[in-house]
Amino acid sequence: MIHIDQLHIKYPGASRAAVDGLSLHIQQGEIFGLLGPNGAGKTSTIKAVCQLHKAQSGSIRFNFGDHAQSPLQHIGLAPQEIALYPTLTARENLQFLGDQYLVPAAQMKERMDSYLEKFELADRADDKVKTYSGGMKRRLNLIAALLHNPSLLILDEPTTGVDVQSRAIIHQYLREANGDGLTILYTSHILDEAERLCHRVAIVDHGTILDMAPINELRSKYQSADLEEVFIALTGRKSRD
Amino acid sequence: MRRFLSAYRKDWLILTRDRAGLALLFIMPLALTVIMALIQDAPFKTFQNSSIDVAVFAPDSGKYALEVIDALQQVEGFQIHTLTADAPPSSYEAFQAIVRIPESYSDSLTISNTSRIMRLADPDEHIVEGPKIAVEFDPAITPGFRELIRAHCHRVVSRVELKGFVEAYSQLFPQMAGDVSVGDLFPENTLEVASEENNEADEKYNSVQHNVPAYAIFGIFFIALALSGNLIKEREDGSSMRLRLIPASPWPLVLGRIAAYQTIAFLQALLVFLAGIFLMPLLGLPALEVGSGIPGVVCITLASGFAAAGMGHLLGTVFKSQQQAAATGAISIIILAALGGIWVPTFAMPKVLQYVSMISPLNWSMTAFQDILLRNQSVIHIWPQLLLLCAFATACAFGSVMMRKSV
Repeated sequence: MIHIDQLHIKYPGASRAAVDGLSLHIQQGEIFGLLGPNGAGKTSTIKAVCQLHKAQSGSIRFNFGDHAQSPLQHIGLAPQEIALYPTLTARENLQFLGDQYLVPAAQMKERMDSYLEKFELADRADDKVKTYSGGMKRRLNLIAALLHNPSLLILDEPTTGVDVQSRAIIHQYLREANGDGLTILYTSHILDEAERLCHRVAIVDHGTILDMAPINELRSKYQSADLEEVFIALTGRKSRD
Repeated sequence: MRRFLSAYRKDWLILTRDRAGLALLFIMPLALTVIMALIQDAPFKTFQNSSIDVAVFAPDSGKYALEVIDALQQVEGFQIHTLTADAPPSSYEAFQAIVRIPESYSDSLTISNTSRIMRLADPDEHIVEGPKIAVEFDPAITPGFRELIRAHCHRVVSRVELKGFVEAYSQLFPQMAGDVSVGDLFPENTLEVASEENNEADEKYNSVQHNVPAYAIFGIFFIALALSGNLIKEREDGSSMRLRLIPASPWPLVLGRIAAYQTIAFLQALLVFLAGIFLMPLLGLPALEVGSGIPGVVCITLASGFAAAGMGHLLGTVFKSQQQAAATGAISIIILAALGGIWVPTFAMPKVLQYVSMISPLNWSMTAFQDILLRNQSVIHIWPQLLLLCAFATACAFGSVMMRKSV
């Protein structure tokens, strides 16, 4: 579905590249985890995939089976930030985004109601987002990425700062949606979450992929009990904060 | 159209739910308009309804001295106080001017006029100098007042002297002059105002007529700060990133946002204009006269709102933080307002600044308002200013879309 080849991103004034020759291939229907410490180049890669950053070199190719539309029409992004308008209600936020994606009016209400129900926000749908808890905002942030029915969902730290209940709701949805064919590109610091969700992961640091394989293969390769040990083995113990 | 309307609705809701910000946007120009109209009421009246206290010291009780006093009493705005004894000017602080008529004024004028007429008949005849009326001014009065008093006194004295000349001529040559009066020979009103419109404009130009449009414009352009702040906030919280991901033209979003702020600017100006019409008279000020200029006022307000919102969009795109945008935006609006004739009419500025003021969008708005509200022009007449405002807005919006930092 996505072929990233020798991607190279360097920000003006930066001493080294944020992404340095990164290559990967994400297949349709998989949940792919892009894992790495802070500053490893995960968000820069995501932004390049979303065409929000121009890469100095390398290529990103999409295969959504639809050449008539822009690839962006098939991508849903739930960014790290709560990219919602706090003084609007959940419904108003979603209506605005749906209108911008020109979601057919007939389907709009149905989709909105369905997602709000699934993510257990229906009873607070007409409340302003600023009155929501962190977990509720994260769930709504995710709905906003899904409303236009993307084929590829990109999640940048989707469960940061959420409680166990909200995380469970998000995980349940992601598994269901993936079961229905949704491809997911996922980044996180929470490695046990990645371990439970992802089919395959790439561990990146300093803008390059250190290793990439299904989680079981990585565990055996590094003779580790869990993904965290693999991660430490590849990226070291030195803090990046 | 759906994307435009949706963007308009979103920004309208965000704006109207920010009660504190909204209150500031509406109260600030309203308060400024009322305060400035009250403060500037007196200076604007300088040549209109002001009462000028003029003392006249006339030890001469002759015919022409009395005529001078009588004519001065007829001058609109002059309060004449006749003094019975002379005194130095410093002791008359209550008067803006003192007119001193010499003791033998009437007799001296008759002698002087007779000598002039005789000189016409005989080139060897000696002309006797006429009497001089002195005018002293309170050093504290403005040059404008001083010039006004001088002009009125000069007109009155010239008229009396001319009358004296005609009367002396009639006495010397009764068979030639007949029963003619000075009014027959030299009509009083030889200066005609060019047109009725200009005459009305003179009467209209008061503190309210200047300050209401001026501070309506000032308030409208402050919308730019609110828009730039919200734009930067959207960029900081990531919402603009989500919008940039939408594979469609950014123009419906940009124009929807501009239109929402333009609506607020329009309502803000409407409030200021309504205050000009209904509130100002309650404060003892003249009411704003819009007359048949409503279409023009609506067009200028919409075009100014468009320009302000476009400017806000560019500020929000160029600057990285809300603090940067707020500080630079506020200062630039104040400079553009100063250049635009919001505080001091541009005609009163030095020549160089008058040229510089032409680049201020606030000047384009102000000129258009003056054309409509004072010069009674139609909308067609102000098209250059409307075009400039719309072109400015379009250039700013285009610039911000090209920079693509935000949509």
